[in-house]
Amino acid sequence: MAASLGALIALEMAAVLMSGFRTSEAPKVAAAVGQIGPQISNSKALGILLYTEYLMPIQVAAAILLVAMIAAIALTLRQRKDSKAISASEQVNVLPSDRLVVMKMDAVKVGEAPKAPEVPADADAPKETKQ
Amino acid sequence: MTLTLGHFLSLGAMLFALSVIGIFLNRKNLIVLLMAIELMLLAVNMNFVAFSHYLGDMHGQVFVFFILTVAAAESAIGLAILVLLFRNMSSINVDELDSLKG
Repeated sequence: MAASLGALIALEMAAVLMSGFRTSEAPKVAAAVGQIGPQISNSKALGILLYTEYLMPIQVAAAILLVAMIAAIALTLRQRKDSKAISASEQVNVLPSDRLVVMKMDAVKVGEAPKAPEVPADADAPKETKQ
Repeated sequence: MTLTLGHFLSLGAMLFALSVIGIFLNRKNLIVLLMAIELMLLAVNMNFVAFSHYLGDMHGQVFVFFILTVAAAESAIGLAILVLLFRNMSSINVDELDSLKG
């Protein structure tokens, strides 16, 4: 029903427009604004117009496109939760003391139960090992 | 029978009517809604180019470029918002997007 209505509207508009503009066959306004001579192709004339008279609006349009691109990326970018990627700089900057704890203990003979290593009371307690 | 301005204006009007009907017919998909809006802008572009050629004035065709630029930006941001919407609601059905209770 809506489609038929739409077709009706389109046909009616077409009829009105066709009857209104049928007779006026391209008057070719001679001294139209922005008209460049007929010896130049349409694309060339467009390019000349874009890069001379419309230079500033073109820059603004470029800025709009850039903002749109950055906004689209910023909206849809997300950090994956199940990603196993590691930070390279964090890996490179790791210190041996982060991973390795050196403890002092007495020498132990074979077959003899080792004594409990004497851990210094608070002298550099072993840090939490990362990763 | 040659092509007159009326033919091009009729084509623009048909495109515009098609997009309006598309917006009202479509009750399902947001993507189709965005496409209908783009079609509406293209109908306007059609009129611009037709009149520009008819009047021999290049400025109309330059304006078409700006309309295309804005349409591109709009569709890019619209699609990004659509992606966000689908992530949050798991649906792009227009009927289900009533969380604002307007």
